Amino acid sequence: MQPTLILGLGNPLQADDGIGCRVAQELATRALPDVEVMDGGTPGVGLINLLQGRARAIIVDAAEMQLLPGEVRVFDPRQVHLDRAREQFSLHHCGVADALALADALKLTLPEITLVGVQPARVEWGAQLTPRVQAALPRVIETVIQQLDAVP
Amino acid sequence: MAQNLHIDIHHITRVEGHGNIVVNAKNGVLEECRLDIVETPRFFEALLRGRPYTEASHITSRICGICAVGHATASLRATEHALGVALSEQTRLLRDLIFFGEMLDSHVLHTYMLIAPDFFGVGSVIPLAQVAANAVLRALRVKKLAGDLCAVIGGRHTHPIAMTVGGFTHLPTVEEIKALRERLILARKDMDDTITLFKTLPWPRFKRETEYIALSKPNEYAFIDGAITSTDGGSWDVTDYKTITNEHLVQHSSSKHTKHKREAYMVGALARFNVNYNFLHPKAKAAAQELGMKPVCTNPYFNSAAQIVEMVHSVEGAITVCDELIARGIKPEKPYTFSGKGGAGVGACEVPRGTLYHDYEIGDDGRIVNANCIIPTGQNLANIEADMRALVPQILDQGQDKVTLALEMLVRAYDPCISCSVHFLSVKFV
Repeated sequence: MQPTLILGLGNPLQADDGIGCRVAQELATRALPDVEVMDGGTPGVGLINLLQGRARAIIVDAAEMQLLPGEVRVFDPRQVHLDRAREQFSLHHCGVADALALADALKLTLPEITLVGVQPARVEWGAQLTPRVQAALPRVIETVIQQLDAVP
Repeated sequence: MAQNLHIDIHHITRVEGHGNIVVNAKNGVLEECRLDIVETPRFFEALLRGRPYTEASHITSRICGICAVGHATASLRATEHALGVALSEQTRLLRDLIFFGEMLDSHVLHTYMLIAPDFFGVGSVIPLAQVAANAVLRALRVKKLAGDLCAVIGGRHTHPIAMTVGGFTHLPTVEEIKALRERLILARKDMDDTITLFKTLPWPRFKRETEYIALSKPNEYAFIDGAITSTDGGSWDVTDYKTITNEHLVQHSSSKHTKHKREAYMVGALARFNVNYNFLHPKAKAAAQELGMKPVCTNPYFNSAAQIVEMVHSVEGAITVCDELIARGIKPEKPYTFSGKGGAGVGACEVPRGTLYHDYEIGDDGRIVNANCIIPTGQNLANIEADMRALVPQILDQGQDKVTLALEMLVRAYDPCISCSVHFLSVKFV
């Protein structure tokens, strides 16, 4: 079994959508035992392949949660309603929700997944995080580290 | 019977980004037929201007999670031409190898996850996974191989990090290449099964002559570099790309259209197949025969079949490159160091969806002064519309639902990447 995966997702060219990648880049510089940190970018359906063969994964991603920009929430993707329009399935749009739906349909075994969602302020072309999401970065990192110790 | 028809499809499913199809016919006469593109405004130059040349390939590889290697390679070739950087044989081989991996990755996803559902009469890959689980699992298996190949050569899954100007910052070991080779050999069975599956599926019959444009080389099926070549005759240096693309604005689309000798031209797998058929691997030619296609193939729906042919070619090409690398061994190489002299250059690649151009001007401070990018989908838009105008009158009597499906399948066949969109989650706490 491969080590626990901390996976940052998103597109750093889409402003706050890059928060997951930023977190992964920061965590990659720390020595975390039995943990693999990956900046996954926008893997689409490839997410399934990154997750398979592991017991545990913590995914950090921008999430529209109707909260204030920079607010962080931890949840199990199976305990919330992830908006997805199955008919709209496409490779770029294929995010966590679609990849999990496809894995379910194929009856694949995926790890225990904890999602650390960060509310974005702006998701459009631009290479910088907005100030409030940038300011949330230490809090997001701390939340991810706490999840390593938490039992999923 | 005189037909009236009004089709207005907002956000065509299973294409990348947002596109709308609008068709109006009155008393059997086609009045309006267009593909609206809702695209984000041009952002490419703004992202690159003022940035060090060393960052350009990393920034542009983030434009797209599917063509990350393609953008990185076109970007590196533009910079290398601008700065006069020569490549070692080892670098060429490693770039060829990772490119084969991306071609395989993108094509397997497109054919299985986006095209196959239409043939099976289901709405998406998710119900497809219930009726044809083995096929979807095969696609994921091939994708895993392609993704692992990209990680071994490019240093990271999805977005390569080891590819740099003049070479690689991290080199694979011969043992890693040997392991990849083993898996590529096993993938031959998946390629055979892919041909067996797709050759029995009901491919739409439609033909329209057009101009096909692809990069070509004197002795190989070109993916990286080459001369711009047309099935209407003629060959041009990539620095003359603007005389081929002739980008122009059209009223109904925020994306520019292109045209060359005719009203439109096509790029992508089918264009490459038509231009460079002679250089396909013999197994890829055999696949084409099984799928019932030969050059010049003028059925745009067969772009997806050409992708399957290219998957076979890519597996065989990757095995050949692995053999060469294993025989040569992997040697450490010095990275390129900046001379302090800028310049201008164009990089061109055949990415999965067609010819991609990156065009950079780099200052003597090593920073990017100007940048231009022309993506394959932009070049195909006018050709898709020309297909729609030819197709609709032929099938008008089949009724709204069948015409709608035929048009959606047509657009999907081009594998358009209309805008590389965000994918972030939308969550409702329950």
